[in-house]
Amino acid sequence: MSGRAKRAGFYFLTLVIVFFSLLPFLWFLDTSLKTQREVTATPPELFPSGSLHSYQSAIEQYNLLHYVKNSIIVAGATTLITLIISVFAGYALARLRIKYKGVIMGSLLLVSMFPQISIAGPVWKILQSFGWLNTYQGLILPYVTLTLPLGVWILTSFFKELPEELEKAARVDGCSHFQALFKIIVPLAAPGVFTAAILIFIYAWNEFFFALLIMTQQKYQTLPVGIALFQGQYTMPWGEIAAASTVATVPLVLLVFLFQKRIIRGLSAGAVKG
Amino acid sequence: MAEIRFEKVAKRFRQVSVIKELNLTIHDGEFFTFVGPSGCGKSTLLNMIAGLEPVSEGRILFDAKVVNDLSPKDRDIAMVFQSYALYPHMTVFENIAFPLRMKKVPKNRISEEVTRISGLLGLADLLQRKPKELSGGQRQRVALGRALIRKPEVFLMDEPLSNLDARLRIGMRAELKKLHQELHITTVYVTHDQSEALSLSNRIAVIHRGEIQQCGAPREVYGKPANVFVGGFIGSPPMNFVHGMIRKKTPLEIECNGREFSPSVERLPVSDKVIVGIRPEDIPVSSAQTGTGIEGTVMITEPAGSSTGSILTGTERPSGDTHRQIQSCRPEKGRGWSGLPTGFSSSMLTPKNACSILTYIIHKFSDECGGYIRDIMQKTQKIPLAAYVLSSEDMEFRKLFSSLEAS
Repeated sequence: MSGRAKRAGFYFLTLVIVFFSLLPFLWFLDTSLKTQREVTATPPELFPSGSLHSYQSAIEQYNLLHYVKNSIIVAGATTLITLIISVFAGYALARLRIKYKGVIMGSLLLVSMFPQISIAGPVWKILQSFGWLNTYQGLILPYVTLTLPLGVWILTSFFKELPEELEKAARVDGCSHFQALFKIIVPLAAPGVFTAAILIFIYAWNEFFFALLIMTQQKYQTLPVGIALFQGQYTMPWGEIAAASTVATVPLVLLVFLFQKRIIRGLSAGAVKG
Repeated sequence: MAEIRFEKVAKRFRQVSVIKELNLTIHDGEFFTFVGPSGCGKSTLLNMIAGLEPVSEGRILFDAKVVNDLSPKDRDIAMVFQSYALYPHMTVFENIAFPLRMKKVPKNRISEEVTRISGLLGLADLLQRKPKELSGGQRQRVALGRALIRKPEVFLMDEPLSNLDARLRIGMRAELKKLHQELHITTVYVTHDQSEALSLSNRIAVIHRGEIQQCGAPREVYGKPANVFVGGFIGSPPMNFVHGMIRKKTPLEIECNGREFSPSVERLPVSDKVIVGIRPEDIPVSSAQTGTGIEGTVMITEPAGSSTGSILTGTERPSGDTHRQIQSCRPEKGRGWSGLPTGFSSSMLTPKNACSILTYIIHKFSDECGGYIRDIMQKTQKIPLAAYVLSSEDMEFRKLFSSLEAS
């Protein structure tokens, strides 16, 4: 096969994969811009008229922004808390002389593999006894627990990559352990911190099962649960659901685009010696 | 500036003893070097002085103050690392300024100091660059600058030149020496490169397996190695070792492969078996068979620029049951190495290519050998032990060999 044909084949295949991955997103973006009549038209219409009615309705009638606010609070707090704990834990696991490091890292990995359903019952019980059902902290706490293994693993591998001499140099130059960590180590591990932050945020933003279980009052429900409950007993507001889904997806897409380079560096860290 | 004193300092990692009871004083303003093979514990020693590694036992004192429990930032030290350990996210200016910023020195004074130091090290044009945009030598200078700006009591250097190419290394070596002569800061230097140790230091300590094998001025360590390890480690090409037997103790007579020596020694060796160390530069090689030398075959010559810099490895003709390799870097007078063809071809075996190893100049070893010999003895139960005979300054010995050469 000639070079040109090969390249054409490559682009074609890439295009097919990208198209399949994007299809659901493109479909609800398309649906969100249709009018009520266009959504239910038979045969279906491919091109929307560009009406923003669904968005308006999602915001005004279905209280979309309220769910967005809740999601931002929960996902933001989860990301922040998990990151802080992960930085310390990752640093300790990467640098300090601790017994059974392998066991600790292994258990973290193991814990992250438990199916959510297997811990749902006990988690619900615990939160109930705290009186934390239908509170932000009631959702943030399990999210932090569930995302910690990810954060700790990413940051540990990042901190391990950094030469130990840098930290020794910082300590000789007048830093305490904490100053060395925050002035030298964390800035240098920024790709790792960003990667961890975004993955944690995406997890907390998208999570549905615990959110549904713990947040039974509309006041505290997050976006995924909120959108699922748009559906009434006799109604299926496709346009509004699509609009809300678009609103839920756009921040993630923006985040990933914005930090694309850093994330790629983060995910491939350790693959090649820098 | 400070004097550093080790009092019975020991270091263990878990159950492994890395430094065994160490007593040593590094004088105020001295350039002191720990030299030894990798893994001998020299970097651990430096880290203990810096406070980066806790001391398991004993005390480290700066002047009269015990510093065991002081954190690195309270010890007033500066350190240069093998990898330079420049902060990659900071510019050269920020790197050099970092120690002062940590001390909360006012900004205008920081900038004055950085300007002064960068001028001193020729970095003035590079201040806004990041470390990755610098060459190896420039990075090395930045690392030095960052250490110098503190005006520390003690300057610690952990193999600071080993990442530089050979030419730059020799240049930087001279600069380090000059810098020390100007500033007189107590400097502790760690290297595995014996030539660096010999050329830079006021005193050196040869470390092996966590113990000081010998400590003294470079000339002393080179000229009078205390044991086989020091003899073999210091000097390039390395010292030759020949086993010998004591035939008679008064006057001392030693037999090495059928050759007899009667050197005078300060103290008699304990055992009958001895190891004789001979520096390659003390073994002249001749293409003619002299009858007085040891017959051998040239195996390899390694030209090293100047004729005396060449290294010749020869095999001694079978004598008894051994083929022994002997290295020399002293060619025949007036003929260089040209009369001694190299290579492993069959022509090597012709009488023409046979060489004579004429003289033995035998260094004196104390009979209190270090762990090295003891360990070997324990392993093999065979290898002879301690010590030996004649130093190169020994007059009688010189006489002996001048007569050998004359004949």
